[in-house]
Amino acid sequence: MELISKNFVPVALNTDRLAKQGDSAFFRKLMDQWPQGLWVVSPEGKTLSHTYHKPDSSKNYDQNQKKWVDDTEAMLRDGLKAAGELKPREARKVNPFPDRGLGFTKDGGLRLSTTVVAVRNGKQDGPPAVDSIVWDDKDLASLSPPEGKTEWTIPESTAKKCCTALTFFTDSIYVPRPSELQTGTITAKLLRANDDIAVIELTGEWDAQFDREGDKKFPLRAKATGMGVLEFDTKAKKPLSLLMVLAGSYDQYGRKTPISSVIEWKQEEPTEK
Amino acid sequence: MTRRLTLLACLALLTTLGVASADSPERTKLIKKADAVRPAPADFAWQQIPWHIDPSTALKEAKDEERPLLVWLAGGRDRDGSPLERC
Repeated sequence: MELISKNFVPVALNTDRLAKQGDSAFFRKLMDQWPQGLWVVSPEGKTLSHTYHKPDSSKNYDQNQKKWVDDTEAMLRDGLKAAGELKPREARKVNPFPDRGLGFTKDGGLRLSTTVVAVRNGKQDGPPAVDSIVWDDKDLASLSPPEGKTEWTIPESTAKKCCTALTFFTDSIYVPRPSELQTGTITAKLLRANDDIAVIELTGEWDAQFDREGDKKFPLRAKATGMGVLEFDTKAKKPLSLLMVLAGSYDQYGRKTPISSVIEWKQEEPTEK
Repeated sequence: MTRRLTLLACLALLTTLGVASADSPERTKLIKKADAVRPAPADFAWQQIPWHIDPSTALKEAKDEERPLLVWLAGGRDRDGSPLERC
């Protein structure tokens, strides 16, 4: 990490959302070499080094992870060598997602923070998947306790957006899209309301049977149930906090792994914008 | 006397703030459950890297500092998001 922070200007970009014009074209040119991966590039656009990790099927998971790390470090050192002498930098870390799990988005929605882990013997097994669930203002409106009701159902479309919390895989090909969920429900129950603050219990259930990139040779299934607590400001009609804990399983080609997820958000304003 | 009143006023304010920001017992109980399955802090070490997600800002910074960029490109499945999460 120090090797990166002290020497390079690091940038992470989604190739599907990279514009064709302007400064994005600088980065699009790299895709002519290879569709994705890691590059060290001079500000003039000269590639100094590149790596792309493709798991080797003859190696196990740990061996592949080690190779990935080793190759990346070698690529960084090659890039550094090709760049010549550089004065170490003191870049200020800026949170690229200041509204992740905190405050409201610019368009009045929420960006719920999610973490998912595989579980073995009740404990985290392997690296987590870190992601978000974006609920817009319409999703948000459905959290408000309806007049004269103590129990209600959150719309299916809102519940299904929790699909990112259903697998520990970091590669999006293993994540079901909302449309791939056969079940996605969240029910809300008002526990009490005092001083304009309502405490609401959330109960959720999700089930997605789908194929990896639509290929029937690679069947996947993500299944989970969850319990949550929503604290809601009934006067302002806005949520104050939301926390959900999910437990379930992820079945990859018949190999089932228990999972746990945490979905969370608080209204406190982000400290960085 | 004035000092005592100021102290009492501060204490009252702190108490009010404490009550206002306090978690409900249900949330407190669930936080404990979440803590048991929340990833270890070491899993978030990569967030200490000063990542950019805007191409123009990154390119300008690299030009201004005359130093190379580390570019991470991911995608190809027509999904929103960022390589720093999932895309």
